Amino acid sequence: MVQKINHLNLKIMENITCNAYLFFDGNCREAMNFYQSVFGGTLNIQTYGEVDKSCPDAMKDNIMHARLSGGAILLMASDDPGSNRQLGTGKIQLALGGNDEEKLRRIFDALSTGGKVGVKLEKQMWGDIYGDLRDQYDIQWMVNISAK
Amino acid sequence: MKVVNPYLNFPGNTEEAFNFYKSVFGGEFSMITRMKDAQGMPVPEGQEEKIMHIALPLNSGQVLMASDNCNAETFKTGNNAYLSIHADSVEEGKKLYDALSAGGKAAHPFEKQFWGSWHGNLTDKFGVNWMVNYDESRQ
Repeated sequence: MVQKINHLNLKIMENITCNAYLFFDGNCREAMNFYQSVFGGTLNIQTYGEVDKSCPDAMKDNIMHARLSGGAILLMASDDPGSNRQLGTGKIQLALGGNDEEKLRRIFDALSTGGKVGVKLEKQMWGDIYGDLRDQYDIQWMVNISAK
Repeated sequence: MKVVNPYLNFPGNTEEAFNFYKSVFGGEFSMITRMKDAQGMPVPEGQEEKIMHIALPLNSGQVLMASDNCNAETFKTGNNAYLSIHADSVEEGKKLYDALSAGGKAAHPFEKQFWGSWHGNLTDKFGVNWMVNYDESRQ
């Protein structure tokens, strides 16, 4: 039985990506422009206002998702103003992604054992299934299951 | 594109945390070194068995890595992560290190380390922690 579980585990990360995801207290655009100057690549930015028309004015221009790709490295980030990140914590989370819903749900559940789920893993307004959690070792994870 | 690897710090329970991640992601550790294995580095008493470096390769192509940081003054829960990148040459490593640390805080200069490869770490002007590495044996 133990062997069988190990065998499944070896396959569990196939076709799943694990990337660092950065959070900023309102200066995400400035920071990502800086990283683009260092690493090159193309920067794609979506603001909260573009994605959610009912978003409060104060948040409209904040970055919901920024993606720097095609240069030396792939970097993703967003703004999370007003959170405790202004104290210098939680700058980096780990983002797991893919479209194998069953596998990613299993990983989400396993990582949350003994930890604390923030956003429940369910369908979000951008069309994907998403959830996040802080594991029992205080590492923060995000899981995004792409819509097929 | 270069692979960016997450590098985590734990306040002394790295080994326990990584056994947990291994149970979640599968795979085998590609490296475990303990503080007592570090040649020429003074190790505080009681920390000999703590983890200096542990690596769990993920099938995604990335490697999840970590070490223990038992210094309560520098360890901050929620900010215990670095982005680790490998340069293709010493020159490129220096360039990346200098560019990223502009306006930030160069914690540990990019230079040859006792374990044989080049390493430097820094906090950039936005508060993000980076490690820059160059390893001849990878070329």
